[in-house]
Amino acid sequence: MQNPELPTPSASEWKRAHASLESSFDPVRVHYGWIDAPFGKMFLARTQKGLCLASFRRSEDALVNELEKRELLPEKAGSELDRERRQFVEYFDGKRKRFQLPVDIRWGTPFQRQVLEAANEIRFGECECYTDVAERIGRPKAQRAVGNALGQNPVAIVIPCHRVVASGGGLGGYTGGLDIKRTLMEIEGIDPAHG
Amino acid sequence: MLRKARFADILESYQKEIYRYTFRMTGNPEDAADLLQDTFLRAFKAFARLPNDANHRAWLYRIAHRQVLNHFRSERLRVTSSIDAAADVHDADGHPDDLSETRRLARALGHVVRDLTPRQRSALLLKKYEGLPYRDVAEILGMSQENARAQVYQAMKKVRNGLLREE
Repeated sequence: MQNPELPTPSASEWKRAHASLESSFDPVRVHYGWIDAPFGKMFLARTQKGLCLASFRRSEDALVNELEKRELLPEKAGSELDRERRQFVEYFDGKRKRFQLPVDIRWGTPFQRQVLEAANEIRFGECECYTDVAERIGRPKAQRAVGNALGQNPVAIVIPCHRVVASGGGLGGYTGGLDIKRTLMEIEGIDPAHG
Repeated sequence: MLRKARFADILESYQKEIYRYTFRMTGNPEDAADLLQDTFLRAFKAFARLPNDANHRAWLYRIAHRQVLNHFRSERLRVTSSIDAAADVHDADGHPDDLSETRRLARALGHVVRDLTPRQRSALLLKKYEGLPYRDVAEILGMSQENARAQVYQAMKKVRNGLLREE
């Protein structure tokens, strides 16, 4: 026996169902893309709330995995990252001293967020040592924990963890690699010995 | 190493098919759209735990099937017929030559599938309309392959008898 024909959704019914499915994913959708930085490719990703990832030297798969671990739905960006891309290019060209972008850093611990907010107050061209940041958040002995929290900075450069250096003139650490930290400090004209 | 599929691609690839399934199971476009959403939101939450080599199609149908059963239970609905929806659909799609024949069949089938249990209806849709192998139908419905074959057989028998009665 041939299968009798069954009712099939009409084009307009399908369009409505599709639109409502799409909008149900809006809160978790994240758009990602790349920019060319002076030290190679840099990944950017943003949610509806703002930039949630800016990092270096990672494969696309690693990036997508990380976003999925945060229960986000990664999609390649079209124009969604235009504003972020433009500001980064201006920064690398030495034409921007301050990023004007919302950031979405809800995944860190409260302590990490506190450290990142403190680092965010360090202005272009200036630097502080780990102890300064630890003191500013009222945890003067927690400089190692401060270093670790900065190492977890999801939005490199925008939250300027590269402006935090070791006391005594050393560069300190940097998750992206010290050569990147050095390049960023050169862009800003920072001399860690005279912070 | 097998590259892990992206949920965005799975969402793109299967949403239309799953909607067709929830639509045919419920016979109601609004309920079907809600069930489509529930299915993919549940799938999204479970996606991180899914093995790399998982059969995404069968996995999605399994979730959709469960959502449909829950829907029937919670609404205390019997499986309803799609007769009216079917008539509207084919008007909207505009195949005037086939209209009366399609309507007749859909109407007849609507009467007939009303008598199928949700499992029989699901087995019939998955096997005969979506072309899934029995292995997948069994996995989706949470039963043995023999049982899945029996569900499809029973469903076909009811449909055949029903259609004969309609004529």
